[in-house]
Amino acid sequence: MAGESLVGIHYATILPLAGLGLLALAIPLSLAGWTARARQAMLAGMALVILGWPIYVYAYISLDYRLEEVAKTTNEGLPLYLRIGASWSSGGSSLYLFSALLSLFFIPLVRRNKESKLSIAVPSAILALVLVSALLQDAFATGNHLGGLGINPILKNFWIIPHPLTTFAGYTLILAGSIYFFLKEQNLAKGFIVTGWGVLTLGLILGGLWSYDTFGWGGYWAWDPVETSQLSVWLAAAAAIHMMGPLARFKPAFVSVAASSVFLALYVTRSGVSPLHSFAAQDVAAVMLLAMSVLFLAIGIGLAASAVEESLNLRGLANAVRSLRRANASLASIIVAGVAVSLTSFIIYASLFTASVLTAMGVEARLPTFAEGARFYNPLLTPIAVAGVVASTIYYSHLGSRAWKPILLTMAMVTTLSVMAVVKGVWRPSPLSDLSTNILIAVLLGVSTVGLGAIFSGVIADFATIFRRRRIGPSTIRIVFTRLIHFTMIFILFGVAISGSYAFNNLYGEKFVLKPGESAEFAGLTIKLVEADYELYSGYVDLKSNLSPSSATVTGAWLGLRLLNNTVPSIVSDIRLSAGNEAQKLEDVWSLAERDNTPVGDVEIRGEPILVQAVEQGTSRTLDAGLEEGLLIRLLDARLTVSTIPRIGQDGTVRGGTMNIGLLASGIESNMALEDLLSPDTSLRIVLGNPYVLDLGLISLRVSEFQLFTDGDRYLLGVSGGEVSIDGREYGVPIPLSRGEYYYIAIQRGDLPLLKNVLDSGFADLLSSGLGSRTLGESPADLRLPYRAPEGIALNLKLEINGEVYTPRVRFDANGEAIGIHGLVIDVMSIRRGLTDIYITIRAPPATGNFGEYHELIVAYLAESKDKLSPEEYLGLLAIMSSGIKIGSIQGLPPAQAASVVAQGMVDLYIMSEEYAEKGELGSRVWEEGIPIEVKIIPGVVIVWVGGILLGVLGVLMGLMYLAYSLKSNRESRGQTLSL
Amino acid sequence: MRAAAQGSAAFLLLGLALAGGLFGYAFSYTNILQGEYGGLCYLPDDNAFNGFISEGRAAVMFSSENCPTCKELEPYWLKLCKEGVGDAKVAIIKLSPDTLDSFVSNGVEGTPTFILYVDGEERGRWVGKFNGDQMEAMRNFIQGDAESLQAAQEPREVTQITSLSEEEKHKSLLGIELPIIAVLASFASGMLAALSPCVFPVLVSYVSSLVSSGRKFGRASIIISPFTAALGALAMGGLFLALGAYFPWIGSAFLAAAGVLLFGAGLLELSGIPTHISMALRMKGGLPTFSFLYGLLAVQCSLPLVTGALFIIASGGLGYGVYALIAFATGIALPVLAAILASNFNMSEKILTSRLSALVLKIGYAMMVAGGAFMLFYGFGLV
Repeated sequence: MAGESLVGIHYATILPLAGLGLLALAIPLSLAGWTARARQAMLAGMALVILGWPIYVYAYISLDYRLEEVAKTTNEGLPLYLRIGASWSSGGSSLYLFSALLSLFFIPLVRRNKESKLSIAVPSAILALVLVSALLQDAFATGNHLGGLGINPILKNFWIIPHPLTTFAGYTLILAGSIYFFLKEQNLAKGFIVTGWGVLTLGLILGGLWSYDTFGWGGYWAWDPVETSQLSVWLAAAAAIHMMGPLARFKPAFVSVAASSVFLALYVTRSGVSPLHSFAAQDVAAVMLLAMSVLFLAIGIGLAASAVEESLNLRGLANAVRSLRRANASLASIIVAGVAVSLTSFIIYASLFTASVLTAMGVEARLPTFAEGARFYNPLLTPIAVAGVVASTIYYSHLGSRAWKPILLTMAMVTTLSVMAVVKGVWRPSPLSDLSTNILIAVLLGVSTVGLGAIFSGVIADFATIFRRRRIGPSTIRIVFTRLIHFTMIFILFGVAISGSYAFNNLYGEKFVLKPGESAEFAGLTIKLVEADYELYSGYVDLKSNLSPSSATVTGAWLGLRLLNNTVPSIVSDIRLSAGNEAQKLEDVWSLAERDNTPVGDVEIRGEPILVQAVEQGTSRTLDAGLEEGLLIRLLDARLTVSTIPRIGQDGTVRGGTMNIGLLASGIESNMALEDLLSPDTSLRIVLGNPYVLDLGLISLRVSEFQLFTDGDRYLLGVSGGEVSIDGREYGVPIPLSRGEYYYIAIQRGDLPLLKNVLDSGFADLLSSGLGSRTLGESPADLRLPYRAPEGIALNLKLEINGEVYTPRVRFDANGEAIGIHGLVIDVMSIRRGLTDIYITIRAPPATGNFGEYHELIVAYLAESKDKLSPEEYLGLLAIMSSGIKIGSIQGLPPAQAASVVAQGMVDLYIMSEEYAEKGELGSRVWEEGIPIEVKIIPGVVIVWVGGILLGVLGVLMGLMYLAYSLKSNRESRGQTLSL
Repeated sequence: MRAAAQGSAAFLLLGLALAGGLFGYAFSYTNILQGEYGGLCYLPDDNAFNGFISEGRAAVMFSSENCPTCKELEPYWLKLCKEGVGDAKVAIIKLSPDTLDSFVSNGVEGTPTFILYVDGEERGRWVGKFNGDQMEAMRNFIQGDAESLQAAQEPREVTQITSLSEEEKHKSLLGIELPIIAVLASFASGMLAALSPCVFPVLVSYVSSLVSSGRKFGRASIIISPFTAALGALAMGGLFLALGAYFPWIGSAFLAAAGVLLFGAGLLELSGIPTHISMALRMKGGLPTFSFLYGLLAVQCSLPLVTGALFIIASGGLGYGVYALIAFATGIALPVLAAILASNFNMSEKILTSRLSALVLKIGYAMMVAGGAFMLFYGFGLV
């Protein structure tokens, strides 16, 4: 599009671009040895990036469409909080947020008088790389847009604010922490990594809540690569934290892997690895991130290798043996837990890394998700999780190191009880899941309940000690917090064990269809649909300037409309021509066509054959007739067949047709034993000396030449020369048909349903008026899409559930359909009763067209948008909506077929929306067929949310404590000379 | 040092008890959910039952808690209820105070029992597990010619409804003999409960601690203590019944907590980490308080026996119920009395100072471990 540039000059881009420049400058400066200047450049660059961010967000708030990303993610009418959320909703802009946060967390570098080259070069390089990647993904691009496209429909809710913020804050804190670790700032590193882990925990839980609240399947974890990549960062950070005691020398390796996994997560969400979350970034931008990930991984592997080498030397082995001899339960727990966390981290990271590298190489790689993911990851990770729970129970319960045997035996007994109860059929924690799932749940419940109780004893003991001593030292706080953290982790596991299968498994849902006034009962709830009505949004989206002409939806729309435009008007006019000029012929051939398959009983043909040929595989040989009294053929139980065949021209279009007349019989007799000569491979051609007249009532056939075919069961006599007479009018058989005549007959007979629909509705007239050509232009870039299309439509519902009123709404956002990710957003309600959630999903009323399944919202949307747009824009909108809703079918199809599919969609949608407009709301499917609702019980899921939030808060508090402590110790050591 | 160590083991025990309770709660919670999913497939009371069978073809499964076969077959029957079987209606009725009459009036003595009704008349009955494929057999039962199914068959894997059969037994016997049997049964329940392997060792160890502390008990203590023991049993039993009526999950939670507590306490003691003695020494109330707690524990370990006794007491009202109550209390009290007297007469000193005492204690603890495990496995219907 004209006026677009990747690096645009705009008040919102100046500061970050300048910051990028300075950061890039700092790298060579520091490597060349000009450390002071380099540090100044870096700090200045960071400051510009940070300060530039609120200004960048302001561009979104003020709907400044000159910035490309603003145009792509906001629109007129978008509420304020969503405009703010839009500022980090796409690949590029979110990377800018990432770099702003990272700059913020690198601020402590300011106060450190580090003179080493790397302490400046590395942070600058990382920031510069992320900013370049952001730039390449259009974060700072400018363009010429009249209006905005609007935010992704699924992101259009409250969760866009907390989830990305906590996720990116977590990533940047952990990344900054890992850099501090390698810059030998151990206190800062610990504080940042632990805080980052806590914030990331919140990010993960909020992501799960988002999924639960939006997608309507009841689950909160689908093993989607995007979720898994966030989990891998969390696990790597946890593993780094757990590398202590005998495992301490592996800490550097895992810190590096943590940094690597941050970049891996950024890559996964911007590549094609995940179907759920990809921004489809340009290759270079995404691969840059993957490269950073690989770099940190390589460093991590190197560090791990040297740690292994250290452990394997004689002194290391001696130390190991010595510590094993002295081993107590606590030490064993540390080792088991450390191994468990790092093993889990390894499994998750490795599965993601492999898929990511393969995708970057262009190989299609798919990670197991949903049911596949559960089948792959759950059985693999459960034993490791159990080992981790056992280890933390022994470490953190009161008297754990002394009483580890009773604790372990109690855990074993309860777990055995639990599993036996399931195996014997006494207990089914998840009645609709299979036995192995129930056993897994039983194991987790047995282990986690004892773990929770035992660790809780430690918590009580802590508080008893604090109460007795009446003072709290820093080490006590640390113990209390880590105990609580592990308690909460097991608490979450407990919640997942109870809720997981119900959340995940769709068999637990009951489906209902309610019309206004109707109600349904489930699990003690009475759900009544009181009223429902459609409401067009008040906002608008600019489809014209924001959709790329080369995108699949625009191209598909243009092709589909062109197909209709090329065929319909000319066919309509040809038919009209035939009806005008040769009305009688049209009437006659149609009446013939209507007589197809009419039974005519036994038919006799006599004559003097002058030529009898047997035709076999294209070759014909003449047979000797050898009859004196002439040929007699009797066709038994015959039916008249009238068929039309198109005549295709050299350009592949239909030029006209031919009408063939024949007789189809179940048996044949002749005095020439013709029936013996006939076979599926051999046909006969007979020319009569004198034409034979067949009188079939209203029509009579004069047959002078015919062919005989058989398929083994039946016999066909095709008249290949002669005349047919209707009401005294004669036509040569086979009858040549003009284009109009051919189409008229084919359409009337139902051979061309698409065209029939078009002609029957007003669509044909619409297209015939030249509107199609005006909308199409010469290429997809000319397609007349609306600059101001209504943003979408909502189906507002009023439900009464046990007397309480709820107002869910099902939405359709046009921009989503137009970019090919579908605009329908269902609504989800969860009503909590005690620990149980009643999960209600409200779907759109389905609408069935002649060529596919749709939903009524898109129909209502088109109907209600019609009078708000010019006819050209409306037709363009119709085309893009059809292309969008059919995107799944047309991807990968050759253009001609794709055009046909889109054309079918357009016809369906047009007809359905005309019907909707005529009938009004009371005639809509909401009233005639009802709204589909699904209800599901999910027990104990609130445990997961509460536990998750608690865990995150505990982690953050603990990390902040470390940071506060490191600041305090830094202040204390200020008096000393700083060593250089 | 010892005091600290002694005090601290209590925390761990408390934690383990909570763990058991949490497990029992989770067990019950998920079981209730199964009921939720049933919705209209569970008949809540006798009225609902009568209405259900009065018209048309109705198939009912008589079920009860703690019945392993019922748990196994219920999901199938439930599925049939939801899917429907031809024109027949399918439902489940679970044994409870509200549904007792339906069980009794239909002569249901064991669960599961499947009865087919047509317009209120019984047309077929099957007791226990079906033969072959359960779902298919159930469908045949519901749809098939019910009379032919009434041919004698061996009921398989049936849980007898003991309290019910006791009820029946008492109702069928002559009115005069009734109180005596009830009284004897109550006494036996109380005695067996107090002497059961999971609780008796506690008594032994308590006594040994009393002996080593050299305390003697006065007449008042000797008389009051057995009754506080009985009171403890009744209190817990009564509380249990009341709570169980309101919150179905309390029963499982408490049962599991008590089982894990005993198991864990026994193991800790065997590992040399003291637990119970600290409880005894710290108690200010002394013997009567201990006896009360003893009654409390005794109940939970021998739940079936005590529940049976309580049912008898409850159903007897002011008639034989009071006699049953006294008998029950006496049954619980006697072992307590014996232990106290033994300590008073220093009889147990000889026992305690012998080398066997340590062994006896160890056996006692081992029995606690076994008893706790047994209580759990029995309570969850696994043995």
